[in-house]
Amino acid sequence: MIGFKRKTLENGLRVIIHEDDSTPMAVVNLLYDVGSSDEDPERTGSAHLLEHLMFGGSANIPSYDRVVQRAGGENNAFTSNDITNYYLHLPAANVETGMWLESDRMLGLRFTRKGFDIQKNVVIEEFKQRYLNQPYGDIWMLLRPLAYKVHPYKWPTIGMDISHIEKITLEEIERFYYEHYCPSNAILCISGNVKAGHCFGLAEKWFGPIEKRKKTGRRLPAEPPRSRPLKTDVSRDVPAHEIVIAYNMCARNTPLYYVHDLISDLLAGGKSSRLYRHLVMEKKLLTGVNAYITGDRDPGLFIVRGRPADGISIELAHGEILAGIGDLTDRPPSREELDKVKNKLEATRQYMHSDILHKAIDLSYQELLGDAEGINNEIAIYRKITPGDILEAAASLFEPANSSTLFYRSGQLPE
Amino acid sequence: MTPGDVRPDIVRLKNGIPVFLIRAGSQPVVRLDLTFSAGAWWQSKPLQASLVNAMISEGTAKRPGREIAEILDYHGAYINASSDRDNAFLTIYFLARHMDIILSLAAEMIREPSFPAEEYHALMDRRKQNFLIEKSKVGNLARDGFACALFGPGHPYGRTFSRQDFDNILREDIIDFHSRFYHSRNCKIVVSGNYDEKALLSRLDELFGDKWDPPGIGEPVKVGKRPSAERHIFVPKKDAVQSALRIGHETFVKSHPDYPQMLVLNNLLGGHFGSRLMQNIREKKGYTYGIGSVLAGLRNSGFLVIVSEVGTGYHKAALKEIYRELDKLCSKPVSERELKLTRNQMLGDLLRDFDGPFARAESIRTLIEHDLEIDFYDRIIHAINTVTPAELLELANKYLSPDSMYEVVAGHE
Repeated sequence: MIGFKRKTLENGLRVIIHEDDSTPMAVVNLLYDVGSSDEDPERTGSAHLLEHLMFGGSANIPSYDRVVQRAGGENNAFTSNDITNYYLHLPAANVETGMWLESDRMLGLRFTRKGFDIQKNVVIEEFKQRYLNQPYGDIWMLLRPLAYKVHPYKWPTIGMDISHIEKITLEEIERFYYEHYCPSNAILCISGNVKAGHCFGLAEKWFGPIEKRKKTGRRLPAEPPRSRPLKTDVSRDVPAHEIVIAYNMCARNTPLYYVHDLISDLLAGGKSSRLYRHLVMEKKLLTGVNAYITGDRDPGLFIVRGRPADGISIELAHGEILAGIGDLTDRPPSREELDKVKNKLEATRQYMHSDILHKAIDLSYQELLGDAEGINNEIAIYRKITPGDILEAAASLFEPANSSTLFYRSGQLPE
Repeated sequence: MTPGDVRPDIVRLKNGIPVFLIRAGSQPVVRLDLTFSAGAWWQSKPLQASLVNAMISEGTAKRPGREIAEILDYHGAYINASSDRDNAFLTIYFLARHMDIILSLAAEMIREPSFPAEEYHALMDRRKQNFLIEKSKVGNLARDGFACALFGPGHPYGRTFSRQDFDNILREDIIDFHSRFYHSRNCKIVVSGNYDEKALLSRLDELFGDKWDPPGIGEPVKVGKRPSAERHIFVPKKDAVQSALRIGHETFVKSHPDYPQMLVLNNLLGGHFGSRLMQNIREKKGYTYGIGSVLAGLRNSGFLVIVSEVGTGYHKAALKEIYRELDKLCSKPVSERELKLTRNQMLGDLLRDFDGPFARAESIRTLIEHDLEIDFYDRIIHAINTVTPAELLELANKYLSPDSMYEVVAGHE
């Protein structure tokens, strides 16, 4: 059980405190309900670029990093399709410094035009380093527009193209900031060696005076149901083929989500999973296989990836992966097999919750989904899932019409 | 809190294996770390050390790999077998209530692996493919080129294995390496988390406490160091849109008297986000997504290295700035203000290194890997608190002079 207290300030900021006195440290986590889905389709990459600019000086603090360093803290942030999350890990005695820093960034930004231009360049180098200059680095650039035709999940967080990042103007970024970085669009969580009463007082002191600001509503276009399977076939200068199959699945806030999550573990979570045993170890058709869900708030993707062994054709490997997936509906899991993936899931949560950083991020995210109590309740939901539930969910999830397939071939063939 | 306050209890099994006990954390989870001096340094053929380690979960005298995977997964346990230049590690995370079964499985894997031929060949195929994929990344090309420049081909720290080496190594080499290096005199154990200490120790004694050190234990194969005569090395990678840079030279082991103060100097240079390299080359120039420097300690050596990947068009400009930063540290003492910032930041880092049971286990394992005592951290704290700008200037002239550096660039010509 992870205990916490929560409160909403006048201006709409939700505050959660989790006390853990087994550590001398504290974490200040601030989640903003804004991600790359909120971007103008012609300016993809804005949410992530703004994340970089959040470190470039705020209303009253010219250098965020200096202050963090002086307070013995460590900080970072990440942007996804759905959220932008900032965290600060520092000695508990300096927790007020953390609140001051974060409240000032919510109050207003003050980066310079020069700083803006430099961070654009840094992000472009990040684009190159992670997506262009890595083998298989562009897989998501190819897969997203295949799996989504309408929904903004069709572009990656870094941006669809370097030219998009280049086009973003300072004025656009400022507007994006004011529209989305308001108190009622954020969740603050403090965890660690702190006292709830004291932290609520600090939250009131630093965040309370921030003006409410009008929050821009989010209305994302729903992805229409699919009527046929889609496929992309590319060749790249990589040493081995790779197959990626994406099935359009349900949204995060539905009971089916948990069933899909278990299915991914049954198929390829760990070395005892079905596809790993069968295709990697027994038939030796693949050198690696993986299945996971993207976990997005809106309907996300169920991903299966496999890398054919040397000399195995991509078509053969693909057929075998599909047969392995189909096998799940022919041969539903035994209770023991299902218990196995549930145990694994429960243990993973326990490991994750052994540090205050992950607890703070998870509490914030659960609150965003509707209730921070989810951090304690989700395991019970998984535990109730039956082999019958798996069978039923798998049958509709793995409809061929629901799939987007990427053949990523090794070699310099004409495309 | 200082590392001195979180000194682990050290208990010895009947055969002398030291067990470092860290009892901490709020969740009922445990991490078991078994460390052997069985890294690349000790091998007679490339790949030997890493393959042994990867094979121990693939089958034992008592059960096939499939069953091992079933047991681990059923109990929600995570296993991570890895090896580096000096050591080999088996790390298992598990729920405290499964201690009995996980510990006995760990003992089986360490003491009675069967190295089944079929699994061995499957692993080789996976590794071969993976090797080629890794070799297509500019970062790895530069890293390997740098290691080879410092230590020379054939040297265990030189990272110079090739595709050919996968064909040269035999299952017998793996079995032989295991028998010579995985034994009780070569083993150290760390257990961290929330567990019943008495039950743990009695189980460890049953499973690992007898004598299991065969005659003829391993000696490293002596290969002399042959550093490259050429200080500027270019590794071509066609059409790369970024170039990977590695700049640095050989330094020393972690117990060297200059190590603690050098850590402070390295932190100023490129050890964190506010460092000079990051501030100049990323935050002022925008040439890269990231740049940093590392003072790495090995069991028998060490090196300082500056690491970055920069846009292909920027690589010359980035190099110029890197050398400028080195020059500056060699010619002008750091200000008290900058030094104070670095001190605070490093002390905060140390607190994080000891925050939570698993982070603490990691920090204690570092001591084991390098045969250091816990006062190692006290010496570092002392250096952080007391090193002067004059001492840092002197160290910079000793270790950061641009002329002393090897420069490796991997990218498009």
